[in-house]
Amino acid sequence: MAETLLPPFAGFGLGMRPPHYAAYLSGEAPVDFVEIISENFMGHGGRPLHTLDKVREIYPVAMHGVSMSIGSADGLKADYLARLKRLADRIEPIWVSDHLCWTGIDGFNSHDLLPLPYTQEALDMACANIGLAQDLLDRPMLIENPSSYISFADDSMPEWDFLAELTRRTGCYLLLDINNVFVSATNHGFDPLAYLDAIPADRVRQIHLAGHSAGRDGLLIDTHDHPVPDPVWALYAKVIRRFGEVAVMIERDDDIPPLEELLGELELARRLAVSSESLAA
Amino acid sequence: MSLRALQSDFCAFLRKDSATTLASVPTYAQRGLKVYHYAHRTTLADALADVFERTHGWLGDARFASACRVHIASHMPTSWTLADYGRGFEQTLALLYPDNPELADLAWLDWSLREAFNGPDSPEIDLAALTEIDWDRARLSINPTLACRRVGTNVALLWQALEDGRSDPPEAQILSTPAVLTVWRQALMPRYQTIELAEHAALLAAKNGASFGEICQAMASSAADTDAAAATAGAMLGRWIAENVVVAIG
Repeated sequence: MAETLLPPFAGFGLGMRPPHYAAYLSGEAPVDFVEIISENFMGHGGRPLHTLDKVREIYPVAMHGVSMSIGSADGLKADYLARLKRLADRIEPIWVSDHLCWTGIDGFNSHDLLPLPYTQEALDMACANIGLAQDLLDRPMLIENPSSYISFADDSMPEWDFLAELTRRTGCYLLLDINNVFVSATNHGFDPLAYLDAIPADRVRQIHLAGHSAGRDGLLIDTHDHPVPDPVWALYAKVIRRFGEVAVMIERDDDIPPLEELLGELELARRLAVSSESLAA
Repeated sequence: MSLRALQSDFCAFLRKDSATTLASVPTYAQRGLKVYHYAHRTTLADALADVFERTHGWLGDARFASACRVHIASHMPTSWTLADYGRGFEQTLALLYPDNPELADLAWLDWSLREAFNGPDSPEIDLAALTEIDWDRARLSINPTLACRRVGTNVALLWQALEDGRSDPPEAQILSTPAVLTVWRQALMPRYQTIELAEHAALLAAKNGASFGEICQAMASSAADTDAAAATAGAMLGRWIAENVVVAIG
């Protein structure tokens, strides 16, 4: 498809998770948008879609997927794409995103976000798959940088170059997860600021902020079960101004606290963005 | 190494019982492989625990975890959605616990309720339009979420006791007469009910396109009192309509 401009959406949002459905259904949650896990609403019907339809009447919705597997050598699954498109047509989201990863091959699905080797062959495959998905969805996608715990012997470029090349070749945009940058930087020993400096700022449409856990063997694990930690806030504060108008979101998937706690984190994200603007002025 | 070969090796590694090494990963980065190996199993076990909550409660943590390990070792996840992974878990339990048929029945009920929860929507019947129907020739559209299972245990009682969090759930019992457990969704709420074999036969006939008149005739032919059979069929239809088991009549 010819490159399509995706207008920016500036705002502060949260993931739509079951413990907080009531607040979203009543419209009382003071957020600018909500993000859904697309797959949780790709069933045939019932309460999930009923709830989403009601929430969509009140809030803009971003669709965030975990199963497209854009890096799989098998290519994309037609059934999955058809269901994703049906949901996107129904919800009319701000945008549709998924991860720079693969989830399985030869009929096996790990249901995990597996790391890609950063090679020319993987780049060609990911570009072909993203192009196909964008054509079928009839909209540009956002691709999120992953957290990773290994590298590959065949890697021939850093992740930031791989992402930049993806955007250049496919016209896709980026969902930049600051926590994932911090986790991968710690695990692989690179400079997170160098990574963020190399990302094409004009392609970033959304930012994720999340927490992580310390695993065994000295690795950080992207668990989304803790508040955003200070080093991730510090990175965010340093770079947020560079990305201009973006949608910022607190991502929490486990040990989900009361909504007020997440709103407190979101307020901090807002304040840091404003103070970053003030410092620049 | 080609991308396809690397990904095939990676998947074979994930499916092994314990984390090993991968030739495509440099020595200094091998430690991270354990994260993926552990996460894969944890994700699948969590998916089973999420769907089979009452079965888990009945089995207890240790036996449920053991059943999950057996299921994961023998069932490769293939669907794009994790929600499909529990399909067939009741067969794993039937193999593991042949002397406890209530376990497979409980798992089937947990699974079918979840399936109904996300199943296709159905319209409500317009009761005002029913007065114009030729009932002898009427054909019934059955709720697309309806699932049926012949059961030989008091599974419905057990499931409800677990759902209610009762500290003294009843003991599992073998039914003197087998029955059929049905699951469907009425509006947004999944429901279940135990029905007799005769009602199940009528439901199957309706699903297969028999008219209501033909269903009544079949019920009358196997009853001693034909008037009573007609009354039973009428009451049954009234309940099916009220509970959205029937979603359209044409």
